[in-house]
Amino acid sequence: MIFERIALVNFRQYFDRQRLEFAKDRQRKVTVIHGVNGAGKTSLLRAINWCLYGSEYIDKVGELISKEAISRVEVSESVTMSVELSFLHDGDRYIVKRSLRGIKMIDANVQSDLPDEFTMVHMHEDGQSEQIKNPIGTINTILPSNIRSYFLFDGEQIDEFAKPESSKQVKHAIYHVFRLETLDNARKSLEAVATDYRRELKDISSGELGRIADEEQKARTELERSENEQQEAQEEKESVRRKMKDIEEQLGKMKSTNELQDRHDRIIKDTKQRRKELEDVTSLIRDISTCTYFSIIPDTVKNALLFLETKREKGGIPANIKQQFVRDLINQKQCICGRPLTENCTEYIQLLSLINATPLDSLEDDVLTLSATLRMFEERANNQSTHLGRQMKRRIELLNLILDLDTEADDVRYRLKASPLEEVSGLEKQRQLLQADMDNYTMTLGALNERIEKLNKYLVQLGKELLQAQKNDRKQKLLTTKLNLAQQGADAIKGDYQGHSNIIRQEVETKTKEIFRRLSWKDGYFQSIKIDKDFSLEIIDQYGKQARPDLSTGERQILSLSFITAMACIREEEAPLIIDTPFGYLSTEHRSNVTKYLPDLCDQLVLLVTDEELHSQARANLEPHIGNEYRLEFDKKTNYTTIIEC
Amino acid sequence: MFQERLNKLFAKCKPNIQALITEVVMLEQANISMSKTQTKEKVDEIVSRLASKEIDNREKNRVETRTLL
Amino acid sequence: MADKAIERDTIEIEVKAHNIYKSLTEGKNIHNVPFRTIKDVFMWAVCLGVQRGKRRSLTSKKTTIFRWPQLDSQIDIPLLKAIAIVESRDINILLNRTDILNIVEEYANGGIYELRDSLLTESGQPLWNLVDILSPQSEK
Repeated sequence: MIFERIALVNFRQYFDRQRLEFAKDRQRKVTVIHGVNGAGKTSLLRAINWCLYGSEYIDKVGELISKEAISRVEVSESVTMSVELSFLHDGDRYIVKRSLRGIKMIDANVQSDLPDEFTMVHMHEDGQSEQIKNPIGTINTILPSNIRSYFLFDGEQIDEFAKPESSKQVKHAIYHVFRLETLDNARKSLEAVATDYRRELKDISSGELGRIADEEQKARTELERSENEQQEAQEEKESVRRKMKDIEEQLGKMKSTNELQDRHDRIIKDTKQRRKELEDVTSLIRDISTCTYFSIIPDTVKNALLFLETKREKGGIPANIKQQFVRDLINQKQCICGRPLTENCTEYIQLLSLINATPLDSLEDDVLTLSATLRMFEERANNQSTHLGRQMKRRIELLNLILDLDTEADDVRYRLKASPLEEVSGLEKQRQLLQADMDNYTMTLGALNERIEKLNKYLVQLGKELLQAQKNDRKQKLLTTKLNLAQQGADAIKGDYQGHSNIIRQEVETKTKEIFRRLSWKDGYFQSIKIDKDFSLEIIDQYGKQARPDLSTGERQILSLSFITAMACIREEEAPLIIDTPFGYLSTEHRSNVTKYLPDLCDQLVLLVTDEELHSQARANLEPHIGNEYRLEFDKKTNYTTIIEC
Repeated sequence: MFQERLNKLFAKCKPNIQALITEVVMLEQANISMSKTQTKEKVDEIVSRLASKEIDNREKNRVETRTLL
Repeated sequence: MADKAIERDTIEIEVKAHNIYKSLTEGKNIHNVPFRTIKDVFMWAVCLGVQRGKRRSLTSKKTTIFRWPQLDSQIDIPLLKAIAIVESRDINILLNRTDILNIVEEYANGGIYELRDSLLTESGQPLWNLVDILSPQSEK
């Protein structure tokens, strides 16, 4: 950490905005700030402290705000105070700012409602800025608060290391400056986490993986076996199914056999019907033909008719009263003379008696009847002939039909012969047995499927358990690794701690001696500086005796300063040395020596001096190294200080 | 530099231990004002991270060795 | 006027022809035994006798096969009368049943053998032989 500039706003006696630049040149690294007592030198130191580390390290917050600033606001109005510090660290520029806002009270005091605001910004080379998220932490890595007093201190109080009871301070100093405390904290933290890991490890059961792996193996073997069984059962079932199909096909054929049988029966029935019909037709033919004898002598009939006609015409028929003639007269109700007759008249009754008296089988009538009858024979014969013809035709038809039916029946019978019906029951039995087998296989397969499903589920579950165990195992692995790492880390720190601390002690011891020799004027008087194992800082005189009790205040200061600067040198981290009233108790020689060698012993030096402190040789010694110089002007009237550049 | 000093101090240690110590020390330094519990949590984070990395490296080496074989 | 008392009403045949009549009427198979009644056989015998001009006197012992009332008045009797008229060429024969019968019986006596020959002796079944007589062109 190398300071660049500081800006104070309303900080204590620094009313309004006051700023100064720190010298940071390699050659000119000294900033001298002059001020009489009360001008604000100590306030400036406090400002730096407050800015970097906050109010924990300052007495009263309320007193930090410029009274002048307070006086210039009304009651209930706010007043802001801030300190902004810019510094370089490891080549980077940082700006830290701490500000505080307060409300003026009636009693002219200020009450701040909020804590101070602390910000840290990292400035990039290109002008971009980046807010630091953990400013306090960052400051602690750069210049930890617990060692600030070795870099920002009051010159008149730096003799504590040389005091008789100083060992605690010395140890403390070394402890903190060299982050031994941090190292020890690190060791403690690592131990703590290692203990936690150990405890956690105990909780996680071991050997799970092996058990699960065994279970999985068993389950997989079982699964394979079941799957094989399933395969076999399926094949068997398929074979049965095929056999059943064959039988069903055969039975199906049987069905068509039944159909054939039915057809056959139908044909037979049909045939029977036809035959019956044939019988009837034949019977009819018989009836017709046995009665149609008259038709074979048509000539005789014709001749007879002719004869009768001739006889009648020629009057060959005896002259009896013609019955027909009389009948006609009666019907026409006409007398023979042509006169109309009434039913009750004499002539009518006479005619009637004539009819009654005439015998029925008179020849005349016989001839007439016979003729009439014989005349019908031709027609009758024709009719019979037609009738007979038709029946004969029908007979032929029927005979053909019957023939066809018989042929068909033969064909059907032939086909029926090919598939004997009596095998059906045998096949049926076989089919039933096969069905029973099918059912068995179906059941077996069902059980197997269930078993396989269960096993698969179990394997999934085992998989999950395995993952968990692996996770646990991994957790275990991780924990073990963590434990080892943490423990080894802690052990490493522990192991080296003592040695490390010794080394530092010795280094500091050596360096302190070297610096003290330079700063002190009593060269030769002091033989050695020792920081023993108990961390007590000792000067050994030429006589080999502890000379500390004999040291003057100034000498003690020098010793402390040597120790501090020795630490700063060995620390090998850039840090400024800010000393308030550095030369208060020093003698002229000491002052001269200090001013001569001190600039080379640090990276940056800021001296807050009174006028008396810095003059003549001291001033002359510092002159080549002074980069910036300021004066703190305190106005008694206004009670505030202004920083003025010299 | 403090880091350099640390490295020097723990030069004998394995790199992973070195890395761990460096990180934890830096953490402790930064959290000098933080509570012990908070710091412990963060230390656990660091240890966990480094341990996982170690395991992964081990696995990788094992696989590579297997491949070589 | 004819004397009714003398009028015969029995139809007679020679005894030796009787078996023919029987064979044409006795039996169940109508193909072989086409005739239902003796009368039908007789009528057929008469017609066939007339058709083929085979008139034969009954010389041997006679037997009655049926009676006049069994003859059909619309067909049989007129037919027999017609045959008698044509044979006798005497109209008065109509009044003499016996004369009619004599004529027709002789024709039957000749015709029965024709019938036998046509139906029984001839090959084929008697029924179809009979049909053949009726319609020689018609198919069996």
